[in-house]
Amino acid sequence: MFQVRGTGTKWLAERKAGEVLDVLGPLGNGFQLPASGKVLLIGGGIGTAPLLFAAKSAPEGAVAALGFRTGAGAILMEDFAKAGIPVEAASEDGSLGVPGTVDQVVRRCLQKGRYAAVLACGPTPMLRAVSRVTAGEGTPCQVSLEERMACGIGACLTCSCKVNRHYRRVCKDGPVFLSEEVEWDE
Amino acid sequence: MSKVDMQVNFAGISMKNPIIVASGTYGFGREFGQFYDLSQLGGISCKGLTFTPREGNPPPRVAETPMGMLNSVGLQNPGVDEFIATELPELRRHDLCVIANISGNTPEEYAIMSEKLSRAGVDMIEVNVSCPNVKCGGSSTAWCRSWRRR
Repeated sequence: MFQVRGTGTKWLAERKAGEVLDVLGPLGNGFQLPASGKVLLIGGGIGTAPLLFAAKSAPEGAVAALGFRTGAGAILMEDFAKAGIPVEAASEDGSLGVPGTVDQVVRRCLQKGRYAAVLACGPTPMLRAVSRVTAGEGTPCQVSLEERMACGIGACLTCSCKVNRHYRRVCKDGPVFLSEEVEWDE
Repeated sequence: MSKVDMQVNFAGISMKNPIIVASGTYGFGREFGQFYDLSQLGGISCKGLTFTPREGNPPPRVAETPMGMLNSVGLQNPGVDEFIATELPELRRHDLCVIANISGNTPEEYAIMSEKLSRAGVDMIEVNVSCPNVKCGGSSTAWCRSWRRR
């Protein structure tokens, strides 16, 4: 699942079933799922997509907090339901779930339940807000960062973000980092 | 396919073919080396080096344009000494022309870097006197004039 954002994704969206693609991947490092315990998944917009797969791989179940701009633009709600993953939603237009951004939902989830890990994927402002909410809660939060990339394999250094005081390559060293190590205001 | 002799000679340096990957696109080759044998290249022009390590510019570092992309990495690199200690020996495991690319803040830095790299045995040195993405990249004409005088 992907969103058409530019020339490449537009081209990809025009491909027909049965065509053969040349793909290099998977690249970088994904989420680390805990060996036991429940997982809290936090998704924003298209960032919801990888979390469905994480939800299905979680050893002792998961809860998903998903945020969308509009209720009409929400994705994968049925798929999460089908996988047996409870979803707490938020939408900025108020037409789905809690009106506003997903970090409010996250706060409530963390008050209600105990989680072995928090995994988040979405736009940077959302990840920054989630990082604030989860800080000091005692549960490590992994964030999948979004940054413009060129080579995708760590050679060109264009997708760098400051993590632990040094620029790290989102495509190769990430895209998943611990939220407490990301310098959000850089 | 029959073997074609692609060998070229540039400034007295022989390369088995004229394909040189450009500085900044290829790092020091490690990442692309995971996908194919770098010895297929004629040469590599390494990521720009500076006298001391540089962290580079804050993100975003790249933007799409109608004709391609613009980047502003800001010469992120481990510095000339680290290159000589760890990257150059790794590159030497492959059969290709190693070109170092250098940027200095002063003419003296260019001189010292050139000396160190020559002694370390790089095949060629490419001199960056026009990086638009850093303050002291040599883009100032006054700086160029002062350098020429020396």
